[in-house]
Amino acid sequence: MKKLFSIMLITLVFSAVASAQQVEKLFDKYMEDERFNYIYRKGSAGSVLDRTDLENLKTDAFNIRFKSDRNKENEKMLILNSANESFQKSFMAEVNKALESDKFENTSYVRNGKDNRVSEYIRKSSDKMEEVRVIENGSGNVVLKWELYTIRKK
Amino acid sequence: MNDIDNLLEKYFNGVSSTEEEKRLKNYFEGRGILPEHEIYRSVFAAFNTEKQIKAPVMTFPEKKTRRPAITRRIIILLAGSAAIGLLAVTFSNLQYARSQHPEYMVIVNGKQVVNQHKAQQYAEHMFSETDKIIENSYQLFREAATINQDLNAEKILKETDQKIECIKTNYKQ
Repeated sequence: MKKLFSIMLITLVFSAVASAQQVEKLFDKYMEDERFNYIYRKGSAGSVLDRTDLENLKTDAFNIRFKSDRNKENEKMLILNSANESFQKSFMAEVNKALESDKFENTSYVRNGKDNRVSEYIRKSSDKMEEVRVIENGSGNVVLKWELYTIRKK
Repeated sequence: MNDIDNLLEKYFNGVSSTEEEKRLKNYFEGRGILPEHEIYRSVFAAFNTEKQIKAPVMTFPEKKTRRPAITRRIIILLAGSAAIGLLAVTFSNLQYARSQHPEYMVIVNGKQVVNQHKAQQYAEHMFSETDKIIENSYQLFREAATINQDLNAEKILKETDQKIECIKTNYKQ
């Protein structure tokens, strides 16, 4: 009985850990794949002033960043530049499965034109928040963006 | 005394009963042993020793005794705890290793950009481009919200009422 309990406990721990981060596993799987570009940026990398060369950094966005009760830990992107639409479909199936498995909540879905889609997914815990955005343009291009925030305690 | 002699004779002939042997035993344990019987004392003293050197009774363990001994249970428990602890340490190390990224990391078509400055430039540019696409996609939402606001029936009716009121006032004058 004890043995059985121990085996069950260990299996439970393993399965919990194994199923915890499917989206992150996707990044690990494809980051070195030739069909993809992988980009990672630490949340604290550079100062905000260093990033003012970004054309879209607006004043209100700037304010939101500082008033926010969350800190960006890091962000990363996987960009698929493949003309192969069937691979795009299979990759998207993997992405959707991982998001579902990690229990992300789909918060918005924008469809521009026939094939252009932008979807946003969020997952919150007591001290962390993850945002995933998926951009598809239908011609074999997919951007998977993942942002991790820590929530400041009030 | 003849009684004891008879009993002794029976005993050494191997025909004494249990009761008779008991009587002999009691006699030799007591204090009133006659001098002629003293030589047998050591023989009957062996009664007690005989009892002590009996082979241990073979007992078959009951189901209860099949349970693991306390030490074994403790070992199982400790092993289980150690396994869980090891798992926790391993995964926390993995998490730590994951968090040990450089500030920027760029891999283009399977090849890592080693130059940190170039990696930074590329990363900033690509994040900026992506943010633009996302921003533009939500532009439609903002426009729709504005249209919705413009088409607000209550607002239109209120404004119309104000206009009518204004015309009436002007007409009276």
